This record gives sequence, structure tokens and C-alpha cells, in this order.
Amino acid sequence: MNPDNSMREQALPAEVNDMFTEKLITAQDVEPLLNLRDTLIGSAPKARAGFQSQLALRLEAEITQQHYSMRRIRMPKSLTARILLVVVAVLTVGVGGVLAVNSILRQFISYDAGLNAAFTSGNSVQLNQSQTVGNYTLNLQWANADSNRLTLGFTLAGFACPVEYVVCGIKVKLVSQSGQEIPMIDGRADDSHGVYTYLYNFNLASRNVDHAFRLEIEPYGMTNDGTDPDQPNVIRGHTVMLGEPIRLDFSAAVNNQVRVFSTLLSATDHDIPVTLRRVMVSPTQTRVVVCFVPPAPERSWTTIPHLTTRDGDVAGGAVNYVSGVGESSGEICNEHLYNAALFDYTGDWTLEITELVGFGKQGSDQQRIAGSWEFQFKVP
Amino acid sequence: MPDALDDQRERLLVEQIPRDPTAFRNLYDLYFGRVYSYVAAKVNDPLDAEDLVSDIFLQVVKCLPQFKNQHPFSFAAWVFTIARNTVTDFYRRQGRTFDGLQWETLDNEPDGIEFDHALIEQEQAAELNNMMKLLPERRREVMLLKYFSGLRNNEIAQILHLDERTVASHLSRGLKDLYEAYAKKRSIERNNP
Repeated sequence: MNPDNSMREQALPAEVNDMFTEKLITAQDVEPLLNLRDTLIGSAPKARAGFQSQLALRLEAEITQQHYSMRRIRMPKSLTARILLVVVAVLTVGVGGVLAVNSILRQFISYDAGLNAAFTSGNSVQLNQSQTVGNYTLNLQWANADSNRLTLGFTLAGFACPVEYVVCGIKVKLVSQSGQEIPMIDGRADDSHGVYTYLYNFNLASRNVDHAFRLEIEPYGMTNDGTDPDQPNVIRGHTVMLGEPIRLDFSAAVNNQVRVFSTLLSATDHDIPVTLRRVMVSPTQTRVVVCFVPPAPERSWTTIPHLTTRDGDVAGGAVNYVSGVGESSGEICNEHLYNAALFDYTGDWTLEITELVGFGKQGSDQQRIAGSWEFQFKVP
Repeated sequence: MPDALDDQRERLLVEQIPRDPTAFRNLYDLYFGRVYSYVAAKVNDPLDAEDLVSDIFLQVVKCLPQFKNQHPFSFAAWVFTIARNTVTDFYRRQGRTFDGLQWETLDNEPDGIEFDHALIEQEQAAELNNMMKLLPERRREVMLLKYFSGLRNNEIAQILHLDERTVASHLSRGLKDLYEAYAKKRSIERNNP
């Protein structure tokens, strides 16, 4: 189309062009029509503040659960103690001081109430250690460690995804001084400012670790090898490592303070008893473990929890399966993670399980049992 | 607008998720706003919208292996097929398909006074949203997927089982309907200040 003098001629959407071609509109209608179209797009409903990040936490827990399942199936190899911790820089904590991390990392930390409390109170560690290998520079900026989790904030500079790869990313591994690999819980990433920024959580619960760790990352690219001849809708790709691993030895003191409440509190609904087994409160994270005998053992069961204190709902509730607990009695146990600063909280707690969800082999195949399994308790 | 490379990138991101949990967050951040807008426009109540959006993304997480191995659609078309089915199930559970008034067509639009009364003192965006509710069901669906969710015409065609030309026609006719309704409303306001 050629509506005269249109400033937006180059960007005319197809449907507007069609309208003109079909003589549904004249040239003078184009500009107001485009304005109306822009207003329409801008009028799309927006979610309330916080909902996106709350749902993200829940979904990342689901992903983590799948991630853990794969790890168990693969039987991860234990690392030997061959790693020598050569460069260990023990940095002091600037209590009450302002910790400097990049703005994206600060944003990531602010999404997590437990970490945010540790950051703002100065009870975390500013490391700012760098290691360069080839074109890549890893900068470990920040760490926080307590008995439930170790969190690392770091950036990777010089990392740009080469054009021949469709997707790039990093493999991340954390190893303790004794050579024990610390499993990852979840992570966040951002590459919008020319440097990759990451915040990763690792699972320290029930692990006897010292203050010394080694972080190892390996950038990779995914190729596009074309479609599968037998399955035209499946794109084949393979992983190519983009350089040598970058290893960084660091020290972060683990705050071993923890409050543990072991219990056999039980609640029954739909003739299904659910037991609250344990509550474990560290400075940045609270974990609750609930167990039950699933009504259909062939399914993969998840509990949907709501934790409240006298201050209101506690955001979170990401789920981990807990192996080795209750398995002999046919029970399955879920551990729910709340990234909250509740270590100093001394009042009443209420945990309510509102739904049991059993997933079949197909994701859409779900058995959902809505109910109320409520536990009221105090953590000593 | 997304292109073919985006499709491939999204498929490979899906494949990366078991190895790299941050890959899902990238996909989620791309889709959250688009899915929320679509659902919220269809159910009106923000609390219902949040429940449904949560259900949709949980299904997406659980069904990722199916998408990877089996699904012929783009990732966007696949996600919005789940979203659309979830909203349909929501109404089915409630024993209704939609508020009847919302399926009135512009040809049967209320007279000028009622029309004006319904829209009085609302902002332009809200007015357009209300006018959208007067579009025929299929046309409104196409426009929601296009303008609120940013889907391409071929993706909308896949989701709604339509020909791409039909999608294009719905878009141009729907936009024209809104344009005319908006002009008519302004005319009524001018004549009844």
C-alpha cells in the first residue's frame, strides 16, 4: 500500500495493509488506526506486582524436582579428593557495610526474602574474586552460606554466543574441600547487559562441609544439526564446550545455626493421613518435610503447601522429593523450601496442605485430591 | 515479532532444561506476560486468572518432554493451546461458556445511549477492552492471541484450527470493527457532551 505521507509506512502491519488493499479504509484512516492498534496492544491486562516471581519460584521447584530425578537415575559419580585448593582467599565480612554487587545480581537477591535479609544485614560475603581462562573471565562477587543452602552470585564476561550456535549456556559445578559435589537447587541468569549474571543456590542440608569450595563453570553452545529425518518436528543439536573449564577456589564461612523441629504430627482428609515430619529453619531458608502413603503409587505425587506465621503467608513452597525417608512403609516424602528469613521467628506456625497431585506419565494426566491437612506448631 | 530462529532457539532451550535449570527461566520470562494477558482478558477476575496461569505453566513444565519429542507446533503455539484448553476447562467446570453478553456481535450492539453509559468516564484502553468483548467469539479470540499475546498468524491458525488467510481476515475485520465502534462512540460523546 502507499498511503500518502504516512510516517509509519515502513512498519505497517499486514492486517492494516490488508484493510487498505480491500478498501475497508482510506489513507487518512491509517494513522488513527495504527494509534488505536497500539492502544489496544497496550491495554492488555498486566499481572499484579510479585505474582510473576512467585510463580517462577514454584515452577523452578518443579524443574528442580525433574532435575534431581535425572541426577538420581544417572547416579552421579563422586569426585575424588584430587582437587587441590590452591588459591583460597578468605575475605572478611563487612558487617553493617554496603556490599557492592552488580545491579542485576542485587535484583536477583531482592527476589529472595531470605537472601535479601542476609544481604542487607551484612551477614553475607562479598568475594569479588576473578579467574580468567581464554576469553572468559569469571567474577565471583557474592556468597551466602547457611546450613540449608549456599548461594553464589557471579558474572561471566567475554562470553558471547557464537553465531553458529543456536543456544549457549554454562555448566556449573560446586565441589567441597573434601571433593564432595554439592547439588544445585536452582538458579537465575541474565544476559541483557552485555555480561552474563548468575545467582545459583546449592543444597547444603545434611552435608558436613567446611568453608572452602571450588566453583567450576564451562561455557557451552548448542548446535542446530537440522531436523530428524524420521521426526521432522524434532530438531537435532549437540553440545559443544566453548573453552576450558574455569575453576575458582573460594572460602565462604557456613553459618551453622539451625532450628530443627522433629515431629509426627498427623492430619487426615479423604482417608489419607499426612504426617509433618520435620521443620528446619536456617537464616535464609525454612524447610518442611511432609509424608504420606500415595493412593496410587504408580504416580509421581506432589503436595501443595501453604505456610503461614502470625505475619501472614510465607512465599515459596518449592518441592523436593526426600529419598530414604518413609520408603519402607510405602510413604513418599516431600520437602518444601521457603526462602524466607524466619530464623528469629518464635510464634505459631500453620502449615496446610491443600492438595495432593499425582502426575501420570503424560503431563496432562493428573489425579488431584483437594482437601485440608493442617498442622499447627511452634518451632523451639 | 518471533521468527523461525526463535522457534529453533526455544526448542533447544527446552532440551537444555534438564541440564541447565536457568534455561526454563528464560522461556518463562518470555511467556509469562503474554499468557497472563490472554487469560486475564478471558476470565475477568484477577484471582481466577492467577490460578489459571499457575495451572498453565505447571502443565507446561510437566509436559515439556512431550513438546520436545512429539509436538508439531512452535513452542508459542503449544503453550497457548494449553492456555486455551485450560480456560475452556475452567468455564466448563463452572457450567458456562462465557457471559452471554460478551458474545454479542457489533451488528447487534446496544443503542447509543446504553453504549455510552457502559463506557462513560473510562480510559481509552478500557474502552477498547470493552469493545473487544462485543466482537464475535472467534474474532475476539484471534485478536487476543495477536495483540495481547504477540502470536504470529500461522501460530494462531494452528491453535484455532483455521486457515492463515482466515486469521488475517479476522484481524483486519476485527480492527475495522473496533475502529468504527470507537469512532461512533466519540461521535456520540460529541453530540451528547
